[in-house]
Order: sequence, then structure tokens, then C-alpha cells
Amino acid sequence: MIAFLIFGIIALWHQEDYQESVSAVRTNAQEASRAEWLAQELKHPHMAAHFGNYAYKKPFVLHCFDPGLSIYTGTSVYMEPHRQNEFLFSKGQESDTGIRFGWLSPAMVCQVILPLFIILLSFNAINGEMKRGTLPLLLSQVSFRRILLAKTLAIFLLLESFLTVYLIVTILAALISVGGGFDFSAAFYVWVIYSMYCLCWSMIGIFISAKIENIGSSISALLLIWMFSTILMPRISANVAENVFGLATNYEFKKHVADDIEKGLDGHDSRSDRAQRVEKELLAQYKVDSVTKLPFNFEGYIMQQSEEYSSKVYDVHFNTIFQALQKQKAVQSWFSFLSPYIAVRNLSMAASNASLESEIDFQQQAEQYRRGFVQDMNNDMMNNSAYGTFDTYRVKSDKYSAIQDLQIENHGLSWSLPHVLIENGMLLLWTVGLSLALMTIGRKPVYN
Amino acid sequence: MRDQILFSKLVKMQYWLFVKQKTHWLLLFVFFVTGLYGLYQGFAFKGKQIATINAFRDEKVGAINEMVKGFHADTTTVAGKEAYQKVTTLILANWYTILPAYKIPNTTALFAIGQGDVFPYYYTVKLESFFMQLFKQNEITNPLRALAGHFDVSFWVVLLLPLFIIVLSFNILSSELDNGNWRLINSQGVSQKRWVTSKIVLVASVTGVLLIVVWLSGLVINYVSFSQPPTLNDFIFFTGATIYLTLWMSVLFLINALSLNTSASALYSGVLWVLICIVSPALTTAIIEKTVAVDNTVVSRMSRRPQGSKFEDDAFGIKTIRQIGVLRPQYRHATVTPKSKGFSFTVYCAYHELLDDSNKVVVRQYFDNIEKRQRLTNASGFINPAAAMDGIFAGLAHNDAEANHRFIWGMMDFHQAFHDALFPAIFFDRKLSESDFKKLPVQKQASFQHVPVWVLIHLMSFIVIILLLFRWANTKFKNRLNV
Amino acid sequence: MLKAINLTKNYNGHVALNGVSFEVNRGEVFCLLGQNGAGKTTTINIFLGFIEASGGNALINDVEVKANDTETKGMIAYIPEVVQLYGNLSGIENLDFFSRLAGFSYRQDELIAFLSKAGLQEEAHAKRLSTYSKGMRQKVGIAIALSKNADVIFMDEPTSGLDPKATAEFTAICKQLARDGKSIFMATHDIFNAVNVGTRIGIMKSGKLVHEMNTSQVNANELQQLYLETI
Repeated sequence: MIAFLIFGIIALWHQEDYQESVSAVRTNAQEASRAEWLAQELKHPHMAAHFGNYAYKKPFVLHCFDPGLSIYTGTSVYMEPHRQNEFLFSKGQESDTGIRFGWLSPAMVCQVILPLFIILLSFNAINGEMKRGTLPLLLSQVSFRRILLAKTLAIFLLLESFLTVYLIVTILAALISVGGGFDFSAAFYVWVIYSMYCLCWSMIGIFISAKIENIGSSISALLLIWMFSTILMPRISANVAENVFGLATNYEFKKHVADDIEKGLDGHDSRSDRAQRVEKELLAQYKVDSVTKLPFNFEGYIMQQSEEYSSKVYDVHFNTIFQALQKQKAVQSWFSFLSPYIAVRNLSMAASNASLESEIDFQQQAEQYRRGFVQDMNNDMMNNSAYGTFDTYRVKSDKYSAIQDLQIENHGLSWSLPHVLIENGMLLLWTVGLSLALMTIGRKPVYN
Repeated sequence: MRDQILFSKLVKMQYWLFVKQKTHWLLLFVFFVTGLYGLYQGFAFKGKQIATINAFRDEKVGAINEMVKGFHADTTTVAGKEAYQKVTTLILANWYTILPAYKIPNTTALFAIGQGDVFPYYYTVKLESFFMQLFKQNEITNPLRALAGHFDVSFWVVLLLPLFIIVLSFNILSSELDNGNWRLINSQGVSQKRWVTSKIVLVASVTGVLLIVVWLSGLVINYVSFSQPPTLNDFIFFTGATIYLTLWMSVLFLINALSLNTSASALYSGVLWVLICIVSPALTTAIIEKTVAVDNTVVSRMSRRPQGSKFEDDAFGIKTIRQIGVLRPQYRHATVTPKSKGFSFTVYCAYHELLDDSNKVVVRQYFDNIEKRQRLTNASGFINPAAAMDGIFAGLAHNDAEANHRFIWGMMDFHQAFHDALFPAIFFDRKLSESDFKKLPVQKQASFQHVPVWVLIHLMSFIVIILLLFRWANTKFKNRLNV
Repeated sequence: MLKAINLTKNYNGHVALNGVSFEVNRGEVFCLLGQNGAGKTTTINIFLGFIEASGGNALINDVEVKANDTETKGMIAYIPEVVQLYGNLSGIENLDFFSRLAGFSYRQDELIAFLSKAGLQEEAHAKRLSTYSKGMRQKVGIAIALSKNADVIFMDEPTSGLDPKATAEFTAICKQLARDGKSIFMATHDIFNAVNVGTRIGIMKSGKLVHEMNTSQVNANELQQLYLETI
């Protein structure tokens, strides 16, 4: 019990500390890279755009409880023209292999260790009474169903009180030490799902203890169920999902993008065809016979045109990747039918703004920003520079400071919940199913 | 009166008892299938890497060969002239000369994916700043899989086989004590220690057979699918797995020696599994994260492209060329001047080279810290055997940070050799010739068999723990009577 | 054959056995009566080498029994109170297994002969033990004892939980074994059966052997009277 509490406190402390350092590093990097951006010499706007810029994810209080995927994806993204950037500098690259065994956080304590603790409390709750011979005595006083209910509630309430205090302490500590966005409804939702999870495990423990008479067998069965649910299933589901809906490699991705930009998305509209068509349209529209006579810099215009086209191509291929990831996630979601752990893990990540959807949203927002930023620089070139001055035109100094860093906002529950409907359903199914199972065996107190 | 039954005979009888139980066959089947699935994951992962490398290399090498043909192009045609210019003009040639660098997964990579999914294993190398290119290129990593972990043979050995051992041997003695058979067995002349030892030997043999079958299948797959004969690393992987599983056998031997009842044995072994496989790795990782700080922002900004009007500046250019002459004596007498046609490009190249040189220290520091984290994990065997062994396996599979960094430093040498081929033309202000391109380096693959000495030291430390545990169990058996 | 000389056993200050001496010869059935905790099982445990005596000697065929020593194990056979054996094995497989543990390997027909001699009907030999009744399990236990060809057989509460028919069969087998020249040492609560099967009877109380007599001297009622007076 004490070891469990100590472990919980270490996890809490570690996560707060980690988020704090992430936050500090982010602030420093943000300031440094901003300074670098502003200190650029006055160069051609397109070249300046190539210097690139960063987008950062805003801190969120619940990250201190459950950092979710942000551990592996990081919280910043680097952007420059002509290319979207994948998650750069994922945490995985700078961690040791030990990170694959799980990341120590309050969420891990509640998802993995808490059920184990419930098992230790419940494995001999009913069959232990049987062995001591006190069960028949109890049965002469109350019904078996009431005994099951009382035992379940006793264990549940004990762990629930721990859970509640733990969650409150985590959030308070996070508010004080790290700060960031706080969403009360999300925190309340996290409390609800973990309570349900806790209840599920209490019921599993009592169910097995009532179903299996031999204490040695009941503890073995419970430990195996725990390992199956929290260790095996998550791995199997992720690996099966990867086998079925595999991701393209970066090489394939880049090749497809390059091919499509060169030959056109439909394969019959090459880059030079597109440029000639745009030129012809513009000449017709402005009734001039040469691009140099256009009222704006044609090079800037065509650059922006090709930027827009490449954005379209990137969108197509990025969507393929995002869709594959989402399909993988769906496979895992359905696996939560076999493992309440997967359900609560995904729900908790969603509420903490660290789920797959919020990571994808982060990428997409960053991409929107990138386009705006690159377009801004290209427009500057189009409107302010003359044709053929690529080597000599320089951007005005206030242009740099006019470009703002992107701070990506966190989403509320109403945004994240629709992505985890399956998990919500499954957790509910587990709770209801287990209650029914307990009620059913509660009819007669006989081991078989 | 007969003599005591021979130990080998006792093991044989335990085997007979073992195979009579249907649930054992089911268990064996389940664990065998999960082992094969682990092998399949490694196979799929490695296969995809190799296929990607092949396609990548063929494309890049083909492009260079195609480009070099431009020297002999018929310059009277438009296309021919274009091709000729593409290979002879400095800036164009620089833009289009893209060399492939890659790291072919070694034989043991079939067994341990490790960090292989987060480190890029193929890079394009251009004349520009090495670190800029390095930190821009990445593999698309699957965060969902990073969260869940791989289901490879390493996982099977490190987390699942111990479970198999626990299920088969947590109650060797306690089940007989509980059901009352023990007194009968003992009256037949079998002591507790012999009974437990014989069963442990049996379980070890069964586990060993599982391991050998999966391992041998892996070697066959490597040979048949990837034409890779077994390497030293494979044998050390097998040895490591055997030692690790022996550690678990000694733990179970001790649990039986403590003579607990069945539920206490189950509890002890279950909790021990959780401690070794979940709690200890998570705590150790947290401590390592805390003590060895790694800040990627110091290197991530290196991916910004250094460019701009300063390269047009003559004074800056002359200064830069002089600096490169100090760093690289072979260009001390560079003949390029502000009047040369490609001067600003030469300055650009020189600046990138100087930048790489000055950034090297920071990058090395960054890499060193990452490697330090891995080394700490690998060395934590005494308190953290599961993660330590997993890290050692990833190291043997060259799928850890150290191997990745070896690859990167090798690639930096390759980048330098690339410079050595094309820089003379750039710095001595002459046209690129075919002989320059003939000097283009081919990237050398690191040996598949690199095994750091510390691996052997760590394995020895495991053996020490095993011996200590067996000793402890032995004194437990000795100090107790047979009831 | 079986000899206890002044056997004493202390458990953390509690005296479990206090100077117990007796002798059981070939062909004798010695029945030890007494309440729970009187020291019956402790006596058996010392002879089986499960525990070590604090004082005195336990001799089997004039060889001293030492705890954790296998020297005397070959001379004795033991039938526990609950004969559990392995439920997933048949009677004949169980017998084979346990006799092999003792270092014997019998042919199939020899195993069948042992089971039949122990009174197990032939059609049950190949059935799984989990389908056996308690009496049938005990017969397998007796067969295991027979197969060991030991001089002394120890039995712990052999008739508890047996129905009258099974008890009668068991008694017959014991008598046969005694006729074959075995020494049988039996701890029991069953006074009537003790008179029936035993050649000699001992009554224990608080670690002391209070009475020792030949069954020819008493009948069941007298013995019961004596027993109740003793405890």
C-alpha cells in the first residue's frame, strides 16, 4: 500500500517536473528562434520564408496527468516553403529503449498499477471467506448478491478516494508549477472515466473471486487477465493495426508527392502545362502580351500558384497517412472490447488533448499557418518587386516582425469526445456487462 | 531397498507428467504462436526497410548515372545541351548530385526492432551543410506504435517468456503441498530440492526449446529472405536471451525455495513480474530522463537553411574562403575570386562547411547524451533486468541510438568524401569533369557484427545475479525440513 | 522392525512428544489412538524423516531415521490421510509414476497386479483419477505402497471418510499385508477399526504413550472406555 502511494507520488512528481522542463525548453527555444528570425538580414522574401518558422503547442494542465502521445510526437513543428514537415524530433529519437516499457505518469499509475492494486485487494475477497468458513455465516444474514455488492463497493470506494485525491493533487500541482490551459469539464470527465475503470476492475476482482474457489487459481487468473488487458492487448492491437493499415515510408511519401507535383494529381497535367496555362490566362485577363507588363510580379504569382498546387498534393498524401493512422486507431478502439485498459487510455488521452486526433489537428493547424506565412512572403514579392529582380529585391524590415509565431490552442471536450465514441461505448459496456455478470452469479453462492 | 532415483530419470518423469496435461500443450501453443508473430513483426519491419533502401538506392544511383551521361550528350540538341549544362555547371550540378546513404538492417534486427522505427535509415546527401540535411530528414514514425511498443522477438523474450516460466513453475512445490501429494512424493525418497530442481530443469528445457526453435527460424528467414548468414550478434542475442531466462528460472527457483502457499507464490511471482517488467523500467527511464538532459532545440535550429545576401558580399566571401583554407589546407590556395562566375556559390559551400565544423561539437554533445541514456539503461541490469536486456538486444540489432549515431558519423565522413570529389573544381574555379564524378564516394556499410565490450560485461553481471539467487535458494532449501 | 526409543519433540517450547517408546515387529499392525494434537502425526513425521526428533531415536530395521535423509526412505511406504495423486492421470499411470519416483520401473502387467491386489476393480485402472471415489484413490495409494515392497507401512487416518464397505475392504487388505510379513503403523481415531485390524494398540495423550496393549486383551467397548478415561 505504501509502496503504491510512493510510486504514485514519484510518478506525479516526475510528470510535473517533465512538463515543467518541456515548458521551459519550449519558451527558450521559442525566444531563441524568434530572435534568429528577426535578426535575419533583409533578404528576398521567398528566401526568408525558406529560413522557416516554428509552431508550438500550448501547455495544458492535464498534460501533467496524461501526456499521451505528446511524449512521442513532441510539441513543436518546423515549417518552410514547398514542404510540409512531419513530426520532427520525436521524443523517441532521444530516449533510450526503456521508454518502450511505458512512460511514468499519473495516468500510468491509474491505468496500469491501480488495477493491480485492486487485484491484490480482491483476489480472496469471496473465496477467502469461503475458505475461512465465514461465508455460510454471512449468507445466513444477507443475500449473496448483497455480499458481492458490499465487497465491490468497499474496494471501489477505497480506490476511488485515492483516485479523487490523486487527481486533485495532480491538477493543483500542475496549475501551480506548470500552468497552462485548464478545462474543468475535461478534468471532471477524466475523473468519471477513471472511476468507471476502477469500478470495472473491482467488479472483475470480485467476480473471479466468487467464481473460482481455489485462491491460488483466482489470483493467477486475475494476474493473467491483468497482463492480457494492460500488456498484451495494447501491443497486439497496435501491431495488428500496423500490419493491416501500414503507413507509407517517408521515401514513398516524398516520391508520390514529387511525382504528383511534376505530373499533376491526375497524372496528365504536368508542371510546365500548368504554368503555361496560368500564363495564358493571365495575359488574356489583363489584356497584355508579355508577363513583364503585368501589374504585379509574375514570378511571385507563379510561385504562389505552384505553392498552392503543391499544398494540394501534400494534402492528398498527408490525408492518406492521417487516414491510415486513424484506421489504426479505430482497430485499437475496437480492441477495447477485449481490454478496458485500451478504452480508458484512449479516453484519457483525448480529454488531455494528447490523442491522435489532437496531434493530427496540431499538424493541420501548423500547416494552415505555414501556408499563410509562405503566402504572405510570396505576396510581398508579387506586389512589391519587379519581374526578374529575384536576386536583388529585399524584404522590408517590418515584414519579419509582422510574422507571428503560431501558438496552437488546446481543444475542449466537445471537440475531442466525438473521436472516442467507440471507447466511451466500450467502457460503458464493460461496466454494464460486469454488473450484470455479478448480478447473475449473485443468484446462488455455489462454486463450480 | 533401492538407490535414489537418478536425477535425469526424475526430469524425464517430470516431462512425462508435463505432457500428460492438456493445458500445458495449449500454453505451449499460445507461446509458440506469439513467438512466431514476434518473428513476423521483425520480418515485416526489416523487409520493408530493405525494400525501401533498395528502391531508394536504385533511384538515386540511377539518377547520378543518368546525369553523368550528360558529359557525352549531343550538345547540338536542346535536350542534350541541357543535360551537358546540368552536369558541368557548378550550381546545377550541386543541386542535382544527390548521393544515397543508408543503413541496411543487420541480422539481429529481425529479432529486435528497438528504436529502429524512430531513426531514419536512409538519407540523401548533398553538397550543402551536413547537419542541415541531417535534421531535416526523418522517417514517418507511428506515434500509436511508439505508445504501444513492438511485438518483436525481443518483447517475446523479455516480457512474455518470463510469464510462461512463471505460469509453469510458480507452484512446483506449493501445489503438491496444497493438495497433499507432497508427503507421498517425499516418502518415495524425493527431496524438496530435487523435486523443484527437476521441474525447473524441465521448464527451462521447454522454454529453451521454444527459444531455439524461434531463433533458428529467424536465422533461416534471414538466410532465405535476405541472404544474410548468421552473425556473431545473433549468437550473442541467443546467449543473452538464455542468460535472461535463466535469471527468471533462478527467481522462480527461489520463490519455490521460500515454500509459500500457492496464492502467495502466485502473488509474489506476479508482483515481481510487474516490478521487473513495468515499474522498474518506468522508474529507471524517469530517473535517466531527469539526470541526463537532452535538449533537441540546440540542434533542431540547424535545420534552418543558412542563405541570404551575405553570400553576395565580396568581403564576407573572401573572409570565408580564407577560413576554409585554414580548416581544409588543400583549399588554402583556392583560385576562386569575387570575379569568378561561381564565387557566391563557392562562398555558400565554404560557409556550410565551416558551419558543420563548428556545429559538430554541439551535435556530438547532443548525441553523447542520448547514448548515455541508453548506456545507463543497459547497465541497470541489477535493478532493471528487463529494460537492460531489451536495450542490449536493440544494441545487438544495431537499432539503438549508438548504432544510429555510428551510421550518422560514418555518413558525415561520406559527406566529406563527397566534398573532396567536387570541391576542387569549386575552389579552383574550373569546370566539373567526368573524372570529378568518378571520384564520387560510395557509402560504406558498417559491419553487421559490431558488439561493444560492455555487452559482455553486462551479461556477466547477469550471471552474477543468477548465481547469487541460486545460492540464496540453496541455503533456503538446506535450512528447512521437508514438511 | 520399527523401534521408537524415548522419542521427544519440542516445538518452540511446546512439548509435542515426551519420551515415547514402542516397538512394532514383522507382521504386526500397530494402531495409535489419541486426540488431535496428542502427537500421533508428529510420531509418523519423525519416522518419515519430515521432521527431526529433539531427543531419542527412531529406528527402522535398526537404521536410525534422520531428517532429510533418504537412507531409510526405501524401507518404508506411506499412505497419507488424503490420497490426492494426479487427477489427469489414470490409476495405473499414477501408480507407474509414483513407483518410478521410488526407483522402480514395473511392467504393465505387474502394475495391474498391484492395483488388483490393492482391491481396485480392473475396469477402473485406465480411468482418470479425477473420476475416482475416496476409497478407490486410497486403493491406488495402497498399490503404491505395495509396489515399493517396503517393510514398514505408515498410514495416517486411513479410514476417515471411507464408507463401511470401503472400510471393510481396507481392513481385509491390511490383514493380508500383515500376513505377508509387513509391519503396519497406523494413526487413527477409529477405535472399532483399530480393534478389528490391529494386533497392538497404543493410546497417546499430550505427547505421551499412556497405554499399550494387545488387541487380544480387549474388546472394542473396553477400549472405548479406556480411551475416554485416558483423555
